[in-house]
Amino acid sequence: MSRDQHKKKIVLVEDEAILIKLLEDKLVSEGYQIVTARDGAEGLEKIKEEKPDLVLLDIIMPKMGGFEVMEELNKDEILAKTPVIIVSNSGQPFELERAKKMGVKDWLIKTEFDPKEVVEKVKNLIG
Amino acid sequence: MASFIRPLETFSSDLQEIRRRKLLNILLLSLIYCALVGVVFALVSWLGLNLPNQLLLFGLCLYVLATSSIVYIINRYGSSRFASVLFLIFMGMGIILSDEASEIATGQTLLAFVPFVVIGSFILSPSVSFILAAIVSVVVTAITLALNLIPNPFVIITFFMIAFVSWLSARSFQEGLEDLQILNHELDRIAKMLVRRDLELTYSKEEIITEKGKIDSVVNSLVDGLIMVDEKERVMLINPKAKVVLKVKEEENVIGRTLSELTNLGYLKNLYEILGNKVEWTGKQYELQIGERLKRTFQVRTTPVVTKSQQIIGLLIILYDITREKEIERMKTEFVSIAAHQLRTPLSSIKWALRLVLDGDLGKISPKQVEVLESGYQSNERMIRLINDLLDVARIEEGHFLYKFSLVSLEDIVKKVIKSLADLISAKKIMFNFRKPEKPLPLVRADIEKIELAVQNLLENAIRYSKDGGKVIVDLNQEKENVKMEISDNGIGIPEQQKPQVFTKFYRGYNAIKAGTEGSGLGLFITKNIIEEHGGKIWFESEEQKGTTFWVAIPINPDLKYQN
Repeated sequence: MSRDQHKKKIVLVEDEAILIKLLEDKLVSEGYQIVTARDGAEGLEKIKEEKPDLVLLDIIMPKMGGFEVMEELNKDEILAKTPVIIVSNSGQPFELERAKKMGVKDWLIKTEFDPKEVVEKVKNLIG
Repeated sequence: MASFIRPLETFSSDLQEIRRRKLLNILLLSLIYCALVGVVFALVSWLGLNLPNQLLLFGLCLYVLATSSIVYIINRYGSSRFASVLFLIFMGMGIILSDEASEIATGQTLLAFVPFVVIGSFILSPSVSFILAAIVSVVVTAITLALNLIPNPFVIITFFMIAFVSWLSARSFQEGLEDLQILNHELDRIAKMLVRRDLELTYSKEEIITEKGKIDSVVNSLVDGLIMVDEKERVMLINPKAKVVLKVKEEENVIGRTLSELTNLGYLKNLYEILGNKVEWTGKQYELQIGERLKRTFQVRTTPVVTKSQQIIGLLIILYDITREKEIERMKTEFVSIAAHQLRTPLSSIKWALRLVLDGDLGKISPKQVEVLESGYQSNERMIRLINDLLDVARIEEGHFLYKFSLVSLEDIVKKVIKSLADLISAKKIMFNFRKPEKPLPLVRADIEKIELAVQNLLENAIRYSKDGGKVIVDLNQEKENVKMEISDNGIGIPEQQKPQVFTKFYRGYNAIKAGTEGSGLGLFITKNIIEEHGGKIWFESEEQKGTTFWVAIPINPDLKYQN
């Protein structure tokens, strides 16, 4: 039995290189299995492939943005159940509202939360 | 025929006159023609009959011709009354002279006098019949007496009876004529009035057409779409712009048909749906989005059409193109989102990078390294806060700042903020005193997030601009229709000359800058905006080196602005 199978799988969708690196490292060190994607389209593919326990999703990305990814996920019955936390730098009230309506679990603004705090949120959600 | 009639024509406006002249003319001309015939007859039968009879006839005809001609001329060019009298005289004389005295006395000539009396009453006046009857009676009686005969009373009586009948007829005839004259005048008057009315009507109609023309040209050249429906939802008016907007073809006739009937035409269905599938004045504004590839947004407004007697006879639907405004709105909000993102991304990278190093994730670091990296981290945090403030300001300017209102307990908010500032309070050893309200405060309708931000801002200022060990007092209470908060400190205060600028963007007191305290200078600008958007008021009193007190009052009922 591979140790990997007991690890929770997280798909991380983020276009900023340094942020992906920092977050990935932190999460891996906490014992999570991480799959990364650099844009929305890639992210959607990976989510469909990997069927993760959690998705950390950015909003403003090339090719396909975070909202569009969520729309696509919500179309599929099973995928719609995947918990999603938005990790973004924008955060206008109407955006938060919209995300909430789409079933997003949390919205974290990158300049307010550091990686340690992000990990805490993740732990609270999926253990 | 006309040549026969022309001699009968008269020139007078008086009906009676006309009648008289005409009648006389008829009589005269008939007599003249008869006389002419008589003359001819006399001449022709000269050879066959007794000389005296022909002579008599000839004489009579000549007499008639002569007198008739004279009277005719007078009747035509002179007074008809005088002509009538003359005629009667000649006629009377003619009758008397044409018969023997004995015949006159016995009443044989009676018959000849009857037309005399009757004609008199018709061409002069009805009562003339009596006068003539009297004259004839006198003459006959005189002749009878002259002949030593007994006058026959029956003759006289008969004469007067005939005169009476004649008088009756002539009178009713005359009255009839008078009535006709009155009627004629009346008709004349009515006719004139009708003509005048008709003119006025024509004029009014022209005016209406002109006005309608003006209205039509205004309605047709309107930039907005306009539809008017009556109380039965039938379309009364639709201007070209509305047709274009709703993609109803020019030639389609929609007038008189109800909106619910027309839902198959263009986008009328969408419009009808937006209005709630009925036509009713609700006073609300609606938004209609139409178009496939090029979406256009329209603001739909309804106004009732009211008559002078306050009766609603229809509804006016106005379509106002707000596509451009919507686009600008969208661009503005998008801009703020993008700006937020673009500015924050590098800052978050720095924050996370430094945090991980400082947390030891990348290996142990020396205290000196920690010190340096920590100050870098703090600078970055300041930058993040400044960006947050700038974004708030941008949203304020754009009018998108306040978002969600709910019933809020100010006491809870103040407690929460105080708790979050606990570290700062203890770090500066501030003596903090929160004077809670005596009785529970009513809830206030507010945007929780923004009120929290405002309270935090004011409390932070009070703490930051106090010296170490200073005192900060927060008082929260109800005053009339408002919830009032008082925050006072004994810190560095606000310089007198700078007091007017306290609430402006980027204001920082020179004493604050000197003291080295941080601040973007946007805090109070944002706070003031938040308080005022809640219908409240913010003001302060301060003395340099002594301290500052800020007051905030927010009305409990948001419909009432703050009143002192």
